[in-house]
Amino acid sequence: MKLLVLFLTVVCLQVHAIGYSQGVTLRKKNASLEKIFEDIYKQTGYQFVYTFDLMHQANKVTIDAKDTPLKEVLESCFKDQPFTYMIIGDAVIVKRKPKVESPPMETTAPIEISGKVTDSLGNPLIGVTIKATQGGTGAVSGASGNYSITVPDDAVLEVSYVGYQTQEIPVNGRTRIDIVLRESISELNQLVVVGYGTQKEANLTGSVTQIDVSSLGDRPVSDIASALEGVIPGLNISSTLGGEMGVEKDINIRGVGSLSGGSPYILVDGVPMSLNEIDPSEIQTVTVLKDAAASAIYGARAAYGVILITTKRGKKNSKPIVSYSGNIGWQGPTMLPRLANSLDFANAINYASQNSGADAVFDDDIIEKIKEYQKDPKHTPGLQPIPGTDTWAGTGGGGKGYSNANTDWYKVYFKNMAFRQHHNLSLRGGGEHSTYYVSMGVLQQDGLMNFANDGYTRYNIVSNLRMDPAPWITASLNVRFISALNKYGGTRAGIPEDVWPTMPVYTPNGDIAYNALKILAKGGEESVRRNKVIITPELNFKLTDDWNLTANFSYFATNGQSMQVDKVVYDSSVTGKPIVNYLSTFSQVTRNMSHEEYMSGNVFSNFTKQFGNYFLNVMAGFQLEKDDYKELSGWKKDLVSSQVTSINAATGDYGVGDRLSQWATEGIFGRINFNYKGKYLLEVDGRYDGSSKFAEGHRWGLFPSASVGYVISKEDFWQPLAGVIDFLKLRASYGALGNQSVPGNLSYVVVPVHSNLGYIFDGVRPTYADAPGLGSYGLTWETAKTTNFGIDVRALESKLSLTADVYDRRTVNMFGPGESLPNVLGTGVPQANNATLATKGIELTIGWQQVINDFNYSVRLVYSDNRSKVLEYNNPTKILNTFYQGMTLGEIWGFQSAGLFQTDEEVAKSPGQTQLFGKWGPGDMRYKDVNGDGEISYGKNTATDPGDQVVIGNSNPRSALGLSGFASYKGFDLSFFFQGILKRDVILDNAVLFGFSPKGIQHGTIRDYQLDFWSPDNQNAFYPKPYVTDENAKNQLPQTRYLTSGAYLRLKNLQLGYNVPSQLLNKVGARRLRIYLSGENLLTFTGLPNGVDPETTYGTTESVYPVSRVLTIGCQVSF
Amino acid sequence: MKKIIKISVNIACIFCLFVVFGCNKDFLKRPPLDQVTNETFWTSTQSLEAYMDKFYIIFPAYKGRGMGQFQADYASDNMARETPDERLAGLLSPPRAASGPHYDETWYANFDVSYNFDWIRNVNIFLQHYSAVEAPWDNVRQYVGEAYFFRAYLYFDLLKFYGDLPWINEPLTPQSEALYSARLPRNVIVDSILQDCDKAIEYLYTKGNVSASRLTQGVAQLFKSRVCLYEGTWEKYHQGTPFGVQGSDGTEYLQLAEQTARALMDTHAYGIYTSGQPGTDYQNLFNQIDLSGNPEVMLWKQYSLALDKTNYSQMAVIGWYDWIGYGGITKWLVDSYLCMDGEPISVSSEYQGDHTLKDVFANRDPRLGQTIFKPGDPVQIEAGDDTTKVFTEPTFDDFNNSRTGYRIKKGLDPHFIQPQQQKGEMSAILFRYAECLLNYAEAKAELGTISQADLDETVNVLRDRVGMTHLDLQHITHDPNWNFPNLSPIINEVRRERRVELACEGYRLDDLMRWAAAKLFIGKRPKGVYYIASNYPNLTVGKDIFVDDKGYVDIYQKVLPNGFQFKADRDYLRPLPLNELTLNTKLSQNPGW
Repeated sequence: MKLLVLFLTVVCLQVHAIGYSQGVTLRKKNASLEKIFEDIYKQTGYQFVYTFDLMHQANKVTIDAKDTPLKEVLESCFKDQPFTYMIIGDAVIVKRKPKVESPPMETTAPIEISGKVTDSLGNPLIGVTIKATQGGTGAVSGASGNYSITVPDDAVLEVSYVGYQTQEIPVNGRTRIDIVLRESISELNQLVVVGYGTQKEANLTGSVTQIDVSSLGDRPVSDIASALEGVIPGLNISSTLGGEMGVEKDINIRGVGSLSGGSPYILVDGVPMSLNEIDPSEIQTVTVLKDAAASAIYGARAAYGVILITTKRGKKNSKPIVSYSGNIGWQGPTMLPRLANSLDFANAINYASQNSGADAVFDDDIIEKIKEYQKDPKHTPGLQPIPGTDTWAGTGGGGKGYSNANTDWYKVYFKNMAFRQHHNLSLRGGGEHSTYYVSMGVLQQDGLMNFANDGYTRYNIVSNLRMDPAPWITASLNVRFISALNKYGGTRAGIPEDVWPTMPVYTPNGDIAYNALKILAKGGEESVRRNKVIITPELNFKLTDDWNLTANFSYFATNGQSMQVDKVVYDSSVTGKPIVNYLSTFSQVTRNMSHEEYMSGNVFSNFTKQFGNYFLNVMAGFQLEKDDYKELSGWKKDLVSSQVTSINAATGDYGVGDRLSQWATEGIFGRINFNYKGKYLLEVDGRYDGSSKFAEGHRWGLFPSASVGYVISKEDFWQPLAGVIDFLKLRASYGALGNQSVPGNLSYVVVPVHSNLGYIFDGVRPTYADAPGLGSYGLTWETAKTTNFGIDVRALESKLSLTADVYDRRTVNMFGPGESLPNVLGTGVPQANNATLATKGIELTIGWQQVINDFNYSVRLVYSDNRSKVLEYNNPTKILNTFYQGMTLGEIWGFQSAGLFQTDEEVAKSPGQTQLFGKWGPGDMRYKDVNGDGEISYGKNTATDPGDQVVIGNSNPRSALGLSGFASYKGFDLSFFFQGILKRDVILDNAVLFGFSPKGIQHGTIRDYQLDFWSPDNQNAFYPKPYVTDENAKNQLPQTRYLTSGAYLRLKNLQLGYNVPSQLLNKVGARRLRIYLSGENLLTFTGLPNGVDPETTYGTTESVYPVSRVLTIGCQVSF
Repeated sequence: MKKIIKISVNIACIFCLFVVFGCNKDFLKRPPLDQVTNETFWTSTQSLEAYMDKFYIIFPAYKGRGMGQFQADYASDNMARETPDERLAGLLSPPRAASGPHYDETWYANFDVSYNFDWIRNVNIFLQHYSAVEAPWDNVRQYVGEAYFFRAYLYFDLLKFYGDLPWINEPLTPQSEALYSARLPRNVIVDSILQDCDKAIEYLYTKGNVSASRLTQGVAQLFKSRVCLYEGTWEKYHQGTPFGVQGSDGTEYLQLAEQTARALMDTHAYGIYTSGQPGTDYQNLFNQIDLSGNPEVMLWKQYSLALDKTNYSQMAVIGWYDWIGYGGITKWLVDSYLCMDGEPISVSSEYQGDHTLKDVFANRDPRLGQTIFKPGDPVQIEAGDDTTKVFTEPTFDDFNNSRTGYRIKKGLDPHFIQPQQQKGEMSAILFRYAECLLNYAEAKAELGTISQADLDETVNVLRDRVGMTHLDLQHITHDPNWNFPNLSPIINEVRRERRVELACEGYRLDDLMRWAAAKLFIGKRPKGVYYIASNYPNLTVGKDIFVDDKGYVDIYQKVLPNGFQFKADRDYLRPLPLNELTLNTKLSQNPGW
């Protein structure tokens, strides 16, 4: 919420029978105006509405009144103030004095205009200033948002309200004008949620971005992570699982924090959660704390930033508002690869076989059958029996060369369209001493798989209650329930990796031909359900007027239940006899129950005081966290009936197992905020943390940080510029944060015990012990030290906003990967605090918003870039199989390609390549002799002697861009959002790039673009000569020719909405109705090969669930 | 007053939280709950057993989807797969990094070794800790013996590929200086292996005194004789080359090989399996589900459908083409089988030539017909079904393992039960006594001390099983095609016997390397059967099939126009990975690389 509402929220709908004449008794000397307001409120019940920054300009007041009428008291208080007030109902609205009273201009006939001012949800706005731009009288909206004003009939109304975009509305002779104000996207007075409290954005010294999610909530995304991508500078989101539903995305803030990984700490109303567990409709704000100073207070788990999410609350003294928002839509893959046509495919495979000296895989008669099939697929069988057997080729996994159909398997596996829906119903409001918000949401998505009943369903229930039964105590209770269900087909690895286009979907007798597909369709199913209950009680005691103490407790319990049923599936032979599908030889039911319990207790105390021009806030507290995870799983073979999928109803072999883990942290923390006139800002944080993940003696770490800010625009000398640049703040921060995110218990040397050894002793496959690795005894906190400089600018009456940050983060004592040691060690090198990583980056947000008559538009550009370098790492030889000092993170080493050999003479004349492989010929890759030693080699495979390898690119995403726009005209609104990565190199997975796998043909299939390989008839080919053996590897080494740009720009969202006019709505008693059409991932610009989505594991592997394009229609209603 | 109440409430609240969570200083002590730590593991003989059990998976057996041990000879001149073996073809290049250990049962049968010490470390951990277990020595000695055995076994694998090695006999840490130790000469490594063997022999229980699934003293003796014979012949035949050991001709090791094999023979614990059926006994040794009680089998690996430990061998051996790219047996191996009269085919009057398969098998050592399909052999006798598939002529295609026309039969049980074809229970022999006899005979032949009595105890026992004419030391026929014309006739014949008896069981590559016998195949190509074009109207010579100028199937004609290019000054040992040389500058690369 933009409006800074202090303890006195004003939405007074009931008129109190309190007259102006009520007496006020006050004796104060040099008191702050705010203090006086508070006292008046206590005595009279009149509430004061004002903004914080206004109060900074307030002068101290000395007053001595005894049972004096309110009006008189106010007159005296406001006498020397740069602002004035007005009384509406039982509210006192404080507002800035008009700068210059311009003389009334000659006008045409004045008319009286009336109307109602509401926010976008239809709530009345009280105290909105409405005046003619030419000057003259002003008006302020009243208790139910109504106003009336007399202005010339050609006047232009300027409507302004703190926290909302100022609008200019031409009167054009109208007498009734209803005004809907839109909340400002970014407003300096907004309260920003920071650790253990809130802070005014204007007073922030750390690097913090907060966004109001109402702008994102309409997007048809299933988790908020997808909506945040590209919106917050420096927040990077990706997924290794492509478009799979209900999975957690990989998130980092400002790039790779640590070589051991490092992701931000995500808190929803103070409770650690995963972003995919929350219904986007519930969210009020998302705040990202980026630099050390901002996130310091979260200590132990916040080294790589914090994402704070607050959910919606009710407002005091407001009527119940029922809101519904929902959408239905359809999703389909953004793009799918296309397999080569079967004839091209068969010829390619045969050619590759010939190159390897192997027999043709497809005989001439099969080639003929392929041609026949392509001519008449209906009447030509697509599959042949394996000669001399009763088995169809392919059904047993073998005999691929005896199929002759023409199938584009990606189309077979994936649907074009799948249904999805999302609904959320909520109620909010509040009374004198309480507020409430209750919300219920459901998301249901059908999967994209054909032949499998996959899908995702999530229910979210939230109740946020808050009460203040006595002035000295506030209590709140937030309860949240989440239930998510993922359903999969018979096997989760059901995405085509190596099925050939010559395979038909069905055998000539109508059975599913490809055994993996058959398992997917009929081999059982898997479901994973997670139920989570979160309870967060909080008590806040007001010890004195300036000092309070908060104790809260977070608890969540997650119950996981998964069940996998494998059913026996038979293939049918040529003569129709059932034969074993070797992927399915027994039935089995596997059930798994897990229980995770997390508890966290926080006690902290806040002291806030304004001493004249000096503002001081001191906060201190402690936290305890503990997490316990327990899992029990069991399986049993041979189901009696495939209908009854219970362990009780199985008769065969069985097994049970468990997993138990736990961790805990403890910390004390403190923060001091200090500022002078809101101009010079200082914040100091400190945290002392302990973690169970480290061995005794290495457990505790102290992490301090400090930040300063300077609001230049508040200086007197700035005033001449004030009309142009309204606000200018410089920020600087430095801080150290600890990271403990290593897998637990590395300091213990564990002897892993497993069951069912692959060797039978006396009729038993025993439980056996594996060898223990090496322990990381001395492991302790790694420390991320961040220096951040930032600037915040608001200019041209806040139409233009700009925030820029540059940062330098040093991760010292980093949990590096174990150093490279000679293989005689015989085990993995333990992790150690052995490296230093430096990340430098910039972030930029530029926004523009303007209202021209009924037309309202805004544009926002977000840009971020960073690069990381390894400053220290124990690798004296600089061997290239790990990190080395001076290495840029993500660098790709490879050879420089010098084209394809065309003749044997060329091979003979060229530098020798036998260090790479023993044999080279026409069509093979020719590498450049970079070091000029006449031979292509890896040298010593070190950075100092890399042979002919050079750095050919960098795989780290650079230049992340987000561009969003919004426009509204009358009831219509339109928004778009582009997101992209402008620079990134990728070496695609060999199967995606070349098709002919270095592991042999059986491991691959061929896509349409992969047919451009070398042959005597195609000497200018892009791809080298293919083989059917691992000889392919020699041509598929990382090299410049096959380095692909992974850059992309994507139209993530396009939305068109219409707000039904309030006159119409009033008749049915609704406050607001908006109908919209929304599309997700509509356009993609990328240089990747056909069908490779840039957001699927960075486009490098073949078997990922497709990313979806979504089209929805939705509405938002509130009553 | 009110304020005081408020404050005390708050303090009580803080206190409560402390009680709930903290207050004990062990709040942050969270040891693993579901795993045993190294400190608590080494407490019982059960833990020693559980620790040693997993080492049993390292023996070559049926792996993944292939024919298991029966395709190990693809890397030799006995068999040829669809595409040539890269080492024999001279196409190897030094790897950048060592790959993982190949002892797991992956889909791709691979008997390769890499410069990997993971399992050696695993043994060393056991040897470091076992003494912490308080138990009578008799309850512990078996496992200690196994540990020494496995260290020897693992080191021997490395020795065969890399020659000189560092000797690592304790678990190293990143601080250990031994990480940077230089390679010790191969004979020093062998001596250390033999010391481990001796401890294994001393500690392991003898057959019958320990579970039949576990190692015994006898297996350790057999293995020791194998190592001794390997090193003895290696040093003898690589003498004076960069691969040899200065000042040693291997005699001592040969003597030790002889003594060790003799000691095992003298225990009379094992014998040669025979049921008096010379026409089938040899074949039936390899196609049993249950080998318990078999006198020749010293250790075997059981498979069981009920225990979900199965293999693919029956599918593989009947040649179901499933991505492996099968080949066949070479004419080289076929031609080394004698005729029934004990004469080589070059001179025997019984030899019928090899223009038809029927001729090839006529009057030959019966092991030929029990190793390779001959016309009329049943391929598949389906349960409850009269259809019996019979082998007639090779088909040269992807199926049937008969790319050369000579199709392997070892390991096949034609009475196969349909559901088991891909979930088979065929057992795998890990050690068999016949090797001991062959090791003994070869050691004595090399030492020049072999007698007719020795032959009658060894080679002729094996020949008796199949009803083959005895080898007579006094009447060895001169074979103009002897592989090793410069060596004595008896060495040639003992080597022939070894090749025939152990054909396609994974011994051949080691034998070729230790005998420095690469000239047998350098510059040559493996051939197959005599090609009778009229039988294959659908095949076009030069396109679908390649045939040499004498009419024999010549599968590598196109890809290896100059034959195998094994480099005799380089390829006897493998290159060390580049990264290892970089990380430890004291390591030197093998000759020629």
